[in-house]
This record gives sequence, C-alpha cells and structure tokens, in this order.
Amino acid sequence: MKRLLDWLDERSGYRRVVAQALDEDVVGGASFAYVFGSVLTFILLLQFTTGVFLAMYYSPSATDAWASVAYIQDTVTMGWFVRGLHSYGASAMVIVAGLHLLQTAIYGAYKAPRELNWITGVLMLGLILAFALTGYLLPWDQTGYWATKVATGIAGTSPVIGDQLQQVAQAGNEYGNLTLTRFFAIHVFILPALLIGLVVVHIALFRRHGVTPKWGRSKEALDSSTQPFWPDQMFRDIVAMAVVFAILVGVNVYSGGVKLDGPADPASNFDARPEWYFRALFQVLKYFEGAMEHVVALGTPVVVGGVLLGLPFADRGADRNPRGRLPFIAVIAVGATLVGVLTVLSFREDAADERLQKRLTEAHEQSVKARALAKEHGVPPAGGRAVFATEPYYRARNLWAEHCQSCHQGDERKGPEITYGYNSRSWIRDFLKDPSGQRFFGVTEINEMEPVELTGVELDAVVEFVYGQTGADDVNGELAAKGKQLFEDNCTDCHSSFESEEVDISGDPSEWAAPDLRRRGSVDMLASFIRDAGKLPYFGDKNEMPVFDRSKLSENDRYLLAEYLVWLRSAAPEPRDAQAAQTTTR
Amino acid sequence: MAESDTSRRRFLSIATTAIGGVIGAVLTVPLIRYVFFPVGRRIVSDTADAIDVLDEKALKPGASPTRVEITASGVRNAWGVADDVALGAAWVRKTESGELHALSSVCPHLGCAIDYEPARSVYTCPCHKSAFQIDGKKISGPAKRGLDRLDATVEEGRVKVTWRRFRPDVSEDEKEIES
Ligand code: FES
Repeated sequence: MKRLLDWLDERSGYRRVVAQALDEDVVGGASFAYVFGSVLTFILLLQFTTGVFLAMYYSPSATDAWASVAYIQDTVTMGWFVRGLHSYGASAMVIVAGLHLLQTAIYGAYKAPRELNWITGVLMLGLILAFALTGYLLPWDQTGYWATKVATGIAGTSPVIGDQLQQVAQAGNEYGNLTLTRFFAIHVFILPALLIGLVVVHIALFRRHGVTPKWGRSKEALDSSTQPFWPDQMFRDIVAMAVVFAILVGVNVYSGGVKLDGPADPASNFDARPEWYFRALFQVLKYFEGAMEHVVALGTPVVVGGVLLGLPFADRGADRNPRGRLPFIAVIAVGATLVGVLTVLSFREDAADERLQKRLTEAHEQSVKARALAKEHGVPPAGGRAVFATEPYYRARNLWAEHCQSCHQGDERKGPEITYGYNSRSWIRDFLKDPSGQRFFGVTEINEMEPVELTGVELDAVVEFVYGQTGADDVNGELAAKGKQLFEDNCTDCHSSFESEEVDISGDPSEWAAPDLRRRGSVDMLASFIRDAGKLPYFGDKNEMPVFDRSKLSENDRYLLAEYLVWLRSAAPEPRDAQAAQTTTR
Repeated sequence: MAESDTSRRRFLSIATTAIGGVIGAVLTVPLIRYVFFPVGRRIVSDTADAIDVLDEKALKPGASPTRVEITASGVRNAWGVADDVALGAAWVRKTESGELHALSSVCPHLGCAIDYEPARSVYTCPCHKSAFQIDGKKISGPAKRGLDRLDATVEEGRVKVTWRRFRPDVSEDEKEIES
C-alpha cells in the first residue's frame, strides 16, 4: 500500500496537494462558529450524490415523471431513502445557509477585505433557492405542479418582458414535456455548474483571507492561540456534519421518506403551497392585491437581495463588534424575524382553515391511492393521472358514484345499504334478522317483511340457501338444500316457491307480493334488476328505484355495475388503502 | 504542552477519520442496494401466453417462412404498463408435411435480428454472418447453436406463438434462463 501511494505521489504530487488543502492556520483557534461553511459543502456533496442516483431512475417527461418518482418512492430498494435525503437535504441546505449568513453577519465577516466572500455567498443562496424551486416541479405531483405554476405565473407579471419570461421559464404556452425537460436541465446541469464555480471562488477567497475570529481580541492573543485546520478545525467540522447527517437520516427514517402527492392533474382543484422556505413570500402576497401584489412578489426578492449585497458597502467601519454596528445588525434581525413570523403565520392560517385541512386530507387519500395503484398495476402511457383508471372496476365505480351511491350509501339513503360485503353470508343474515331496519328496507315503503324467526342451524341453512343463489362457488350444498326446505315451509306465502323451474311472471304487477329470489345476487339477475326493478319477478308496483334503461345506462354499463356488485360480496373495505397507509406515513 | 498537543491531535485525527467513515458507510450501503435493485428482477415483463400472430390459411405447406411480430398487452416496463408492446419477432412456416414450425428471430450469437434469404432458403444474420438452415440448424458463423424454436399452435384457425428469450452465445444445453 505504502509503495503504491509512493508511486502515485511521485507521479502526481498528491501529498502536497492534500497537505496544502489541510494545512491552514486557523487564527485565534478552531471554533464551532466556523463549521457552517464546511457543513454546507458536505450537504452539497450529499445533494450531488443523491441527485445523481435519483437521475438513475427518474424520467423527465410529463407522462413519466410522476410514475418514475412513485417507482423510486415505493418500489426501488432504498429509493424512498435516497429521495428523502435529497429532499430533506434541500431543506437542510437552506437552514444551514441561513445560519452561515447570520454567523458571518454577526461577526462582521463581510467587512473589507472580505466583501467578495460575502457577495459570492449571497449569490449562492440565490442559487440554492433556484435549486429548490426547479426541483420542486420535477416529481410532477400535485403540489409541485400547482406551486410552480404560481411561481412562473409571478414571473409572467414582470413588467414589459413578463410574457416572454414566463414562456422561456415554462418553455411554451402551457406546462408540459418541455417545462419538465427545461427544469430538469436547469436543475441538474446549469445550477450545479454555476454553484460549483461560485463555491470554488468562495473557498479560494476564504483561503486567501482566512477565518474572521470573534471581535475584540488583540492580534497577539489571536496569533498565540492559532491552531491548524487539520485536525483541530476539521474535527469540529465533521462533528457538525455528523450531527446534521444524523438529523437528516433520523427525520427521513422517522417520516418514512418525504411525501409524494398524487399525479399532477390540471383538471383538479388543488391548494398550491410552496416549500416552507418560500412560505414567507407566499404569506406576504396575501396582504396585497392587484398591481401591488405583482410589485411585491417581484420586488421582495430584489429588495432582499439588494440589501444583502449592499451590506458590506454600507457597514464599513473597522469595528466588528455588533454593539458598534447596531443599525446593520437590526436590519438583519428585523429581516430574519419578519421571515420567521410570516412563515409561522402562513402555517397557522392553514392549520386553522378547516376546509383546507379537509381538502388536504382528501388530496392525501388520493395520493395514497394513486401510489398503491401505480405500485400494483403500473402507470398507463397516458401518464400519472391515468393510474386511477387501473383500479379494478374503475368504470363501474364511477357509474356507481354517479347513479347509485346517493340512494344506497350514507345517511340520506333511499334504499338498502350497498357496500363491501353486499350479499355476503353475514349481509344476508343481518338482513333476515331485520329486513325492515334502517340499514335495509326501513328507509323505503317496502318495509312489510317480518324478521325471520329461525335461529341456529336453521338460520344458517336459510342463509346458505339464499347465498347459494348468487352463484358463489363456496356454497355448502347440503346446508343450502336444508335451507331450501325451510324456505319452502316458511317463506313462500310471499316469495315464489322454487318447486317449479321458472317463476310465473304473467301476474298483475300491482298484486305482486315479493321478489322472486331465483339467482338473486348473480350478475345476470343484478343487471336485469338494475334495468327495471319494478318489472316482475322483482318488486312490481311496490318498486321505488328508478329505471335504468338504455337512456341512462348502456347494457354494457349495467353489466359492469352488476359485476362490481358481485365483486363487492367478497371484497374487504379498501384493503389497498389500508396497506398503503401503513407503508407511507405522509 | 507540545506533547499533550500531539497526542490530542492524534486523537482528533483518528476521531475525524472514524466519523467520516461512519457517515460514508451509512450513505454507501443504501446507495449500493439502490443501484442493484434491478438485478434479478423482471423490470420489463413479458408473457407466457400464446400470442395470436396470423391466420393459419396464410401459411402454405412447404412455402417460405413468414416474419411475424409478437406483441403483448399489459406489459410492465419499470413504472409503466402498456398494451400492444412489441416483444420481438418470429419466423413461422409450415413444413411439407403441414407441421407448424416457429423460430425466434433473435440470433443465438449476440442477439441481432436474423433475415431469411428465399433464394438460398437460409437464414442469415446481418451482424456476424451466422447462417442457418430453414429448420434452424446452424450452417456456419460464430453462433454456438442453431436458431431457437418457439412453441406454435393453431387455435380456431389462428396461429399462436409463445414468446421466449434465451441466453445468447451459449450452447443449446445452457440456453435456458430460469426465471
Ligand atoms: S449476432 Fe448474429 S452472428 Fe453475431
């Protein structure tokens, strides 16, 4: 090993490079006050690494972006971990950059000759926010899509060039494939290149001027306590890195990864909310209207940037003690407080808005469903939103929601409750025990049936007999035969007897006592029943359910619905949703 | 003083390196697992179903083979699922005795698509010039085996072919890919 390294050093002189990189005097001694820059470099490397790895599974197209991110999140081994680190890492970047800025400002480290250190730093803060803005759109989920639309919309209100600016930013007249490819290219090529360039300049300037020790120490005191960067400062740096990294990993694991909303849906209503570090700007816009809103939206970043950039030129005295620079410290403090207060206000207002919370809950349920479906069935070529159509009985569910749900589910039902387990053994049993109860025909006028008084095995037998009519393949034939006998003995005063093959439907619909139970709950019977529940052998003139003939439902749709109802019999309530809720916390 | 400083710095150096190592490991292990996720998985699905390719009447006993495309529906491709996805192509014909015969168009050498030359009644590969008889047996070239036979049946007047992939550049005995 030693010889290999010697060989390498003879050719490359790497030892001198490393020694030079690490060999630097920290005037006044190592301090935890100086760790922020190193921590930022560390997070930056973390972002580069996780970003490159995410690109391994990510596809920047309007049809594939959400699907590929959902794949990373829910299918790829450790994908949620890598994506979570990248996303939480962005937040960490903003926080640590803010702290770095505060530390530098309080120490007066931007003063001559370090103005350029400060200016490159402020520019990098701008780049970090640009990273966050462009990265937010890439998953093409509801939040990213709508929040970024607001951001490019703001750009569109710029004076004179607004329209062009917006078209350049979103690449065209509308959000689509080109918006994503453009944001992707900016996020993974342009911004990193710019940032690396500035980091190099920033660090080179830092090496040139050295650290800015705390104010008020004499030159002699500083010189006598000077320590080397390696390992004295580096140790503090790496401890800080480890703390930040541990928090990142902890938050990531604890939250089960960062959230992913449902696929972007331009047809939906979605409450656009930016990432937390843009919340202050978001909040401030609420207080302005019309033209003023545009002025503030565009003006605030310009003013904040201008103030920061101008700071070293305004605060030029030799004294770095904050007490001697109160007005400048005040500007920073007021600015930071304002950002903090606005951010808190924004979250508080959202939390107090019950209707918003309800919509957010619904949006969350949609995302859980979309992700579960994407994992199970894959996403069709039409793109993220099409994943909802992969749900079993998708069309039938829509038909159900449109035509049936209001009368058969909820508190304002006009007919028996139909939900998971409809026509299962336990449903039939409950029905027989209380046919005219609120859950069944109690909400209708057809409430004359008396509860069945059989118990024990006899009740089991009748249940099995009725259950057998559905055509289920797990019927106990022996028990059902016994039930048939009991049925013939007890129920045929009203329901037609099964002694003959077919039921006689030539009777008068107004005299019809009760529906015939042959093949009750089978696909064919249900499709025919849905068409007209008032015809014989169903309810006759007692019927209250609307007719769904061809003017309302095609034959095909009636069968889809009937098949869905049959599927309900053995379906558990949304098993997928419960399962998905377990694997994802947000 | 100087000595205690030296030992303190040695400790700091070691601690710094150790902490760095731990951070690296916590990052590297998940990343390696992440990169290796696709290994051994059916990222792109195919189908074991017999796929309808053409009308049986289109095949005359003893005639030249016909090239057919094999497409499947519900094909998963990582996050996507799509219908009418092309899986590959096959050459089908009927022998003189009327027996159905289907060959994968994937060259058993390195996977190029083979052509049929009606003038010489041979299959040739455009890549490295492997040549095969009409029954698939190898004539010449770098391929280590003959063309791969696919199962083909006739159901209700339609020819159906079952698509399969095999390991390239190995002998007949080693070509199975266990799934
Ligand atoms: S791939 Fe066909 S001969 Fe090489």
